[in-house]
Amino acid sequence: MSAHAEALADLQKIAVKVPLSWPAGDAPRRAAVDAFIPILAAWRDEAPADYVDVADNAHLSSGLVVQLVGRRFTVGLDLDAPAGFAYLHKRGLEGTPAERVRAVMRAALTLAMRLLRDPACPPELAPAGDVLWVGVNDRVAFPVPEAAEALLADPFGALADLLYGAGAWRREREADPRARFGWWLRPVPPRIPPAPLDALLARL
Amino acid sequence: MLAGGPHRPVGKAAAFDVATGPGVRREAAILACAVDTQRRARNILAMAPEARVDDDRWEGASPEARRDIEVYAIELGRWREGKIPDAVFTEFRLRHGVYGQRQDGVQMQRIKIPLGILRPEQLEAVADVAEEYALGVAHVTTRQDFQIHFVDIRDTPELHRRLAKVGVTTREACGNTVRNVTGCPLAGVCRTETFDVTPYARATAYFLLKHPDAQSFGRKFKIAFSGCAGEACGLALMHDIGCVARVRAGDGGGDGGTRGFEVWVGGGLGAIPYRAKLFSDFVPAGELLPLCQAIARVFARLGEKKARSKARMKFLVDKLGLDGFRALVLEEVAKLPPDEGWTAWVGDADRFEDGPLGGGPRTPPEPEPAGAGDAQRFRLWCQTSVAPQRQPGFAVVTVFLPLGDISARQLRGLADVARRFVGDNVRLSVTQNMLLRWVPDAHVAALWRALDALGLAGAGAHGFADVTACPGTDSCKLGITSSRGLAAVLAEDVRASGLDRDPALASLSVKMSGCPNSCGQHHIADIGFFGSSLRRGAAVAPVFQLVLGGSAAANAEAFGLGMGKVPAKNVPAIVHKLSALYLQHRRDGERMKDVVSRLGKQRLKDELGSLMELPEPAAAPDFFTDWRQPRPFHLKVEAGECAGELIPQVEFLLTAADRQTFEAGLHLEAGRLDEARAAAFAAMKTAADALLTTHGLNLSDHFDTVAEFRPRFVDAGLFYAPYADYFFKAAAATSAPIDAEHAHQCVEEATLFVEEGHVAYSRMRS
Repeated sequence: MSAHAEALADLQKIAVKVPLSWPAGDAPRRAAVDAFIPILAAWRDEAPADYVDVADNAHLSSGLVVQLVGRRFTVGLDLDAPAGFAYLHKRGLEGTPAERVRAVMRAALTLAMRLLRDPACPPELAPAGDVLWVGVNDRVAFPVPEAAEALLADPFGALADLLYGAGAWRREREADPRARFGWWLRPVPPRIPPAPLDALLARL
Repeated sequence: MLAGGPHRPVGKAAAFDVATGPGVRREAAILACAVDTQRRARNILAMAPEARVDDDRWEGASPEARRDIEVYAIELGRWREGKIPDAVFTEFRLRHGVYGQRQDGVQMQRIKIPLGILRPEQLEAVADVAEEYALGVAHVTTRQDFQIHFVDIRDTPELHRRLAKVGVTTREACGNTVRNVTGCPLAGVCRTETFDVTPYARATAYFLLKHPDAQSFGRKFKIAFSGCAGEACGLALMHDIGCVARVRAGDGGGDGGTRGFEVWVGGGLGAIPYRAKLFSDFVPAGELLPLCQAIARVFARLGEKKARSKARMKFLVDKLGLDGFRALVLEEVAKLPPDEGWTAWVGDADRFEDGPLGGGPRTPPEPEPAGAGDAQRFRLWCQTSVAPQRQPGFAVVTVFLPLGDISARQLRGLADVARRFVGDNVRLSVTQNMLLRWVPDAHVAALWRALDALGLAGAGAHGFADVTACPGTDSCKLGITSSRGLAAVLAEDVRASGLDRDPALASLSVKMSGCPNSCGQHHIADIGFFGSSLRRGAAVAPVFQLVLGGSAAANAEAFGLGMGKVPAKNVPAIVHKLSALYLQHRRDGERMKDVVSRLGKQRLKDELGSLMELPEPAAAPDFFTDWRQPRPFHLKVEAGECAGELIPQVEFLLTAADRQTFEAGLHLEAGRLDEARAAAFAAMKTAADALLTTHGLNLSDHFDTVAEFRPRFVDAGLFYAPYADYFFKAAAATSAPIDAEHAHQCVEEATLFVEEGHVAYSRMRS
């Protein structure tokens, strides 16, 4: 088995981003970021065996500014455009690559919905359009975008078929080749209004 | 019965009884252990994926770095199997920059960047490892290092490999070692420097990295370089060794005289700050490295080894007195065997000097922004972030990093910016920012736009809102209060209230630490704070000790004066009050330290009045929570790893000898016979050296080891002579090719010798 195929067989570091609409202006934006800290701290306190701690980097204008660091996965608020809810899996996945990708998307959507439904979550926050990102946070296993594309096209494509219907989707990659490999997924044709997260989740 | 006693390393053959003396039973038991060692080798490689070496992942890594990381991976695997005591592994991993966090099961990884000098591809590598193994955020430290947090220790070997591929090391970033050598980030472009200290500081950093004389300290050891005496950048006077550039005229050193350094020793912050003492007003540059080596030897030999709180070199200098310390060091210099490394670099010093990007920036000059908002932001940014270089036509630009933090995306963007504008001229600063040097004046506006697109064009570098903070309770085991939480709130408050735009206040410095240990350098701030706690009945409040009147100028010229505890929640109000007092009472040219000194402690306390008082919990419950912490404050302080537990060098080396035996077995198994023999011999030498450290000897040459080991251990009856003969025989052997049978014997002999080393040490301790 080649190194790449071996990496695919033990695919773990799957990442998902759910873009969120965002309040305009610095102060409301900062307040929205700060609102995540007590919410994620409550999740940590509910399941201390699963989570390590909340990391607060809200003073930054880029990247994961608030995170709940977990043993098997981390979730957080990612301000890099488009800003959104990020889910980063680390270890513990089993099954085929397609099953793993699906399991991670399911977990990400579940937690994103939980966050948005929290009474402390700023009401302005909502899914921003019918777009999702799925990728791998692992440049060692998938160092070359073209190789990663070849290896991950099947499991990522299977996920997109489930979310949007067979072939009824399109994908885009980050322009920067140094970025983590991943696909931005959008339905074709675009849906107006976009499908809610629970509808997407129900398809998984 | 010594086996299994408290000093016996875990995983050794614990069943044999040394009381039976050398004999069949003992030999059989040790041989069984040797077999077990080979089996362990296979098991560890099979079970610990981090120990696998994949050759195509090493491109660009030096053989020495590769070797270091292979050793680290093997030791990590052995520790995870319970084969190495926790305390020994802790000091070992600290020497690879892996530091325990307050949170269980995750680590902070410190990345050593000598003088903070970085190339674009190194920025990208740090971005990648931060994103994949940590929080996607890199933190610049007050020692010009990077740190990334919440790392799973299983990921650390791969993380180290990826950094090594671009020439970045984590070696000796923590632990009882020579920490990152720091220096003025303006070196080479500074308008007030005597000369560029960069090549000298780099030579010192790499000469002492992993140097045998710098491996058995009782505590960490810090060195700094400054190009001039008057500025703050080098902070030389708060270091174990501080070097300040000087030129001595009329010494045959050419037109400009002879380059050298004022050398200061025994400085340090910590809970009680010590100002360094002048060891020599001039040490020629070519004599600097042997001097540093000799100081390291004296510190290793005489420094405190048991009480960590008294183990920094400042205490040794204080105890011996400067004259006594100097005499011992000079005596040591005279005894040092000559080393080409002392001066080999001196003639090549010029090649370290940097310059503008060859061919100029890869982007055309742009006009300054014209729109009202952008023009205002650009002007403010220029005021705080842009300074002319010594070289006409060029500027040095400070990229302001809030709390020293930068995201992975910003790091990659900054790498692009560096390639376009300045090439390799990026440096981290001790003020937790980044500097881009050699920016052509005509390109400053274009650079601002490029930084702005990354969210990195904030104004306020080196200003009132550029608050320095240690990690505090965010991640540090020693943290008492949330220094980063307070720093973030305070910086925002200072900006929002416009205090940082008042020209009279703009250069005030605020620094804070989450405990008394001064990682946030609170002693040298105009306004400093360190974390503490105060109980009111059943409730505990976070408080900070206020420290006023320190100064980083002139290489950390003054330490502040403690004013008393203040509630954490009152700190912003106190900073406002102190700013007002300063504006009200300062006379021409006076700095905060002058005003503090003139007004006096009692007057200042009176002025602060009720702001220093902690209200009752029922009246102000908010005072009993910390800044940006959703839970009530509670005191949780664990043993820190700032310098690791003190592991006697003998135990550290015996563990290393175990590993070398293990590796010898791996080579043998793979048919690499010469390597197996070499590793077996190295294991025996390391074990012998380990025992010799108990006699105060740190030897590097194997002939010296043999000469000292024979009378002290073998002739003295402390080491089983037949096993010692294996070492003596191997030391005298030629390097002729070896067959498999003999290689196997070498490995077995090494195993017996190292085991006897453990036994001898146990016997000595009983």
